[in-house]
Amino acid sequence: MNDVLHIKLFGMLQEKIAAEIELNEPVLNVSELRAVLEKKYIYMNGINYLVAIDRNIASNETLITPDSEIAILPPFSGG
Amino acid sequence: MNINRYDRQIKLSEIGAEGQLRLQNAQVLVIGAGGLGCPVLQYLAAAGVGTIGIVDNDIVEESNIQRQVIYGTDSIGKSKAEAAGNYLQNLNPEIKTIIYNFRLIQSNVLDILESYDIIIDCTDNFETRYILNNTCLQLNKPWIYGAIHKFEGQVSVFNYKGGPSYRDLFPNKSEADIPDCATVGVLGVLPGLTGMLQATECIKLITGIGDILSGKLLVFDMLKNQFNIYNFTHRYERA
Repeated sequence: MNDVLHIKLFGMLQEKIAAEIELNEPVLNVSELRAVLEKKYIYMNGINYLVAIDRNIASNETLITPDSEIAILPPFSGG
Repeated sequence: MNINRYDRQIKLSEIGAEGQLRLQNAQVLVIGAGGLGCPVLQYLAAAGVGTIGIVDNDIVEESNIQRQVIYGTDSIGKSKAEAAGNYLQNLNPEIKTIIYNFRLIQSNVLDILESYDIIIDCTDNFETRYILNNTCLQLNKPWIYGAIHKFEGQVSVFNYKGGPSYRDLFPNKSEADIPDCATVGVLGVLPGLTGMLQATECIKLITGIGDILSGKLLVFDMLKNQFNIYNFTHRYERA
């Protein structure tokens, strides 16, 4: 698929990267999305982030479609 | 119990006299008496939670007061756990406070957590959070998580009636440093709001009302006024 994916980022990823990014690379599932993101944004290699697809925390096998609502959630420290 | 003190919440049919009694009999441990801990302690004490444990080994610093609103200028230099305990006793002399004026570590965590029904994570570090998660799994106790970053907050309830835990979200600590509010800054209202959401979940757990944030990660952004809930399940089989 060549549709653009819209991805929302949270936490420190907003400062390190952006609040929202677009990906043109074809990705089939979360595993492929992670590989593309980590190649493009080196910072993402060092953190254990969550990928949410349509408001559900996804596993690596979860499929991604052009309509998927994608969010990347890093861990937050505390208060 | 002074019924008049709790009149407005007893009037709620969802709480009533029975709910108030449950609050009185509850034993809640708050780990950290900082930005998150202050509103949690304040609202749980005011609501009449009968026994509240406070774990913190820090002293109050001037830069804390902007968000840790139970401390006054005269608390600077004093033990946080003790100053918080004094504040709560003045707020509600009917409740019992237990002060743990030291850091929660692997060697003391079991002894401290054992006698409490609900644990609230108001820590500012991942090391304590993972110790807390492991011990709550071991003791089969629910714990209420809160964390913040700049203008965003996260709240969830872990290990509630066999529900998923923090390790189901983040199995391991990140290699990269995750900045805390001492590094990136924070508006006082963010831990205030996050802590109040944690206190609300605690009151709901005790009284058995409403929907609990178990298997749900609440993520909110104060600047955008956005509240989103992300669902999650067990990543691993339970031992």
